[in-house]
Amino acid sequence: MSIVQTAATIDHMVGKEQRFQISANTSQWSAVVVTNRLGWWQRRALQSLYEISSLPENWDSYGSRPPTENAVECAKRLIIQIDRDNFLQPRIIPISGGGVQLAWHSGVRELEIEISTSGFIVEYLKSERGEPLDDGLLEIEDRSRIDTFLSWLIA
Amino acid sequence: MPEPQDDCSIGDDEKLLRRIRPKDIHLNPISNQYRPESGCFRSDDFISVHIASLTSEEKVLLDYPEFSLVEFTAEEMRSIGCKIVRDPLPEDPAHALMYGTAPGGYVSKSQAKKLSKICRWVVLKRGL
Repeated sequence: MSIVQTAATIDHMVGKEQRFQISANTSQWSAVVVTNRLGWWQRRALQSLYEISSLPENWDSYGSRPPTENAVECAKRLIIQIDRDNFLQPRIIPISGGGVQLAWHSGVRELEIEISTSGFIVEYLKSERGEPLDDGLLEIEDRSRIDTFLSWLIA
Repeated sequence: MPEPQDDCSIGDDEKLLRRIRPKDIHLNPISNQYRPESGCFRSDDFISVHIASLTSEEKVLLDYPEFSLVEFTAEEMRSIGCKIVRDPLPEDPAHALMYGTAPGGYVSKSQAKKLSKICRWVVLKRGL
């Protein structure tokens, strides 16, 4: 079952574990994230992610498809793996063609992480006062580097 | 694919328009102004714009009344390394495509960020 096609977010309680379920068919757990270990900002970000995954065709008025399942899944992994309980809420933005962007703002600094349509290419951009400082490619599993970026953001 | 040639028949003072989805607008906490997300200028394809002298705000927003509209000049676009090529469509003779310096000729993240900063609102729909 496609996450993109069936994105209906259900905050479902199973025992003492709070979970997010993405499925129109509640008999199937097509994607489950145990959220009781996640920070509030992460839960909110996942909710936003699920919302944009259900965008219709031509959501941007220029004929784009909704974010792809691969891009959404990659963004979800990124959000979950950040080991910071109390952090800034990122804006979750769909990219024309099927990608996803996360954007954090702190003072004059901004960090964007963009996931390609395929989910395989991740790019970052650091900026200050709206002016780009540094950009490049990023490995989604490179937690140390991502943490360095987040530390820079709030320094 | 050959590198696209910038269409010099589109003068520097020509204004270029692009629609912005309501939810892709955020309030910049520093400037306290509404800005389009830089992601509005990113794609896995070339970026569609409308040549202002060949259309009108009303025509561009006709089928998308909830959308906002931004403008920037061809000079501003060129100053950050982008190019423009006419791409008239049957339903939109003013349609053009914007190219950047990212691989494949796409608009790069830095270029998209700069566009999001330099563009101006023609129509800003709030109440997001």
